[in-house]
Amino acid sequence: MTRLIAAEILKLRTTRTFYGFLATIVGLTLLVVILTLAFLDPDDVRDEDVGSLLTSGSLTGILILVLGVIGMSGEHRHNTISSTLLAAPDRLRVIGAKAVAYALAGMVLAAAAFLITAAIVYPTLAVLDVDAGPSAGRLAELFFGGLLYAAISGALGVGIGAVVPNQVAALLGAVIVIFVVDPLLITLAPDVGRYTVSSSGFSLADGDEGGGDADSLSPVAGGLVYLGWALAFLGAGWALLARREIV
Amino acid sequence: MLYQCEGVAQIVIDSLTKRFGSTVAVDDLSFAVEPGTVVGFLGPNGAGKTTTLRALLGLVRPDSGTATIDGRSYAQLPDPLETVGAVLERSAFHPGRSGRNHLRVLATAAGLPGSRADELLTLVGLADARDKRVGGYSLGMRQRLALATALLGDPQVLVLDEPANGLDPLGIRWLRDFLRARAAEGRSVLVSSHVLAEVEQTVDTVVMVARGRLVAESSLEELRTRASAGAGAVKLRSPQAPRLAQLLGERGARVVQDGGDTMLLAGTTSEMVGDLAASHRIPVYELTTEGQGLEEIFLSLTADQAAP
Repeated sequence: MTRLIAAEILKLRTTRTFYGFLATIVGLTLLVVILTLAFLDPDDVRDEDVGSLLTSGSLTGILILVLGVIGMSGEHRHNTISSTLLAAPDRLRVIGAKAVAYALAGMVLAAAAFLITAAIVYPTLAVLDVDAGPSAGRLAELFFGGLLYAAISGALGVGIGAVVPNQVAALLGAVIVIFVVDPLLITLAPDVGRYTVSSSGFSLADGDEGGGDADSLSPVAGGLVYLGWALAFLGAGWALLARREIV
Repeated sequence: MLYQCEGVAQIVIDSLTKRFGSTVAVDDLSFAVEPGTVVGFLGPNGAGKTTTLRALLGLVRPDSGTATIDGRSYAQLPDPLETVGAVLERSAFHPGRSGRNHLRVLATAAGLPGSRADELLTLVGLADARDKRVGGYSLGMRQRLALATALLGDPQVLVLDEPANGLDPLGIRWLRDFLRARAAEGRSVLVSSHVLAEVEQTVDTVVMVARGRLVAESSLEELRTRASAGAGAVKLRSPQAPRLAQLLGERGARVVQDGGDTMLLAGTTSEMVGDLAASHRIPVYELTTEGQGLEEIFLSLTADQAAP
């Protein structure tokens, strides 16, 4: 299993896709942080405002999910699934290794985004003479919550790509669910909406224990639900791949 | 029918049947590949060759029968890439990854040293293009990379699906030499093609299929003997062709085409015509055997089955 994970990580490292996503995530993070800081009123900055700035990771998580979808569905698109399965005929191990690899990649991307944000935010606040920010404990909570969210997002993307091997359909489906279906459910039926893919994921990423939106799940509950979504898609993806004829 | 063969690195297809919906792609097919031999797996497009090979490689599930390597299904092989190397008909490369990295990925997955990538790229003549992205490779370069992929684990068995597809004559010659060299190393090679001429100079044995069924299995030598025995006609050009034809007619030959000085004769051989002409001092300007070649035999064996 270890060598399969290593092979999946090598796959990620040896095309431009991963670096493209890294550049996109870093660029978008910088854009959000710089724009937020530019319009910041130094006299009205609360601890949670700085925390929110540091957890602009929701978008990062979505991009990592998309990376996972591309990674798995790309195996079918480029027919590399044939050579992958020739090297490792056990299809459960193939899906498992890819999920772990994309979870790790997600954590690397999320850590990069968090550290870059922190490296800009704290010196800027110091220059502005703003003495606000989350406590060390809260900071750790935000950091590790973000990493966990990114890891599950990567694995979930792999699961979605395994269930829907057509890359365009998989990406389109994921975008529609995250940006249309889930928000509609959250708005129209909050009791159901908070269990959706995006809502449960955001609950984990925000890490706002007890103080968040009343309609949202707690970070732990959100994390468990989000993990459940990932496992459900990975399980379904494995079941489908196990039956799929590679012709 | 189960074939019993001794030795290692043996492929056995036993009563294999595979359907896709109402289409029977492979129909009760059985044959074996002896260790150290090169077997041509021949048949027209849609004959079931690719499906058979993919069943052997565990990529499609047979409805019945088995396809095994050394008595095991592909999924049961402990180190598959070190047992079987495969070239599939559809290329299986990420266009954005270099040839070297393609090999490194698979070597890593199989627990093989990454240095194999460079060794094999040199072997197949792609050392200079190793860091170029596969999307920029020509068809011939992709086929070479596919062969390098197949050899990654230094396997005893090679399964190649239409490896000559798209290759120019130089590439086909290179492939032929390459396969013969691998067979000389004691490897078993099962190579499919829909064109006999592509593999004619490479294979020891041919397995011919049409509409998923076995239509012939014989050594190339037997096939050549059959082709020679079934020589259809002798082309003769002589100023005394009618007289020679008459003499030959007395010995069982018959004229198929009469062009005056040029005739096509059946039921005889070039040796008989030559001897008879010499003994009667009849000048002969041209004497050729319009024999039924291997290709004609291949076509005649598969034509009936292949007809829609």
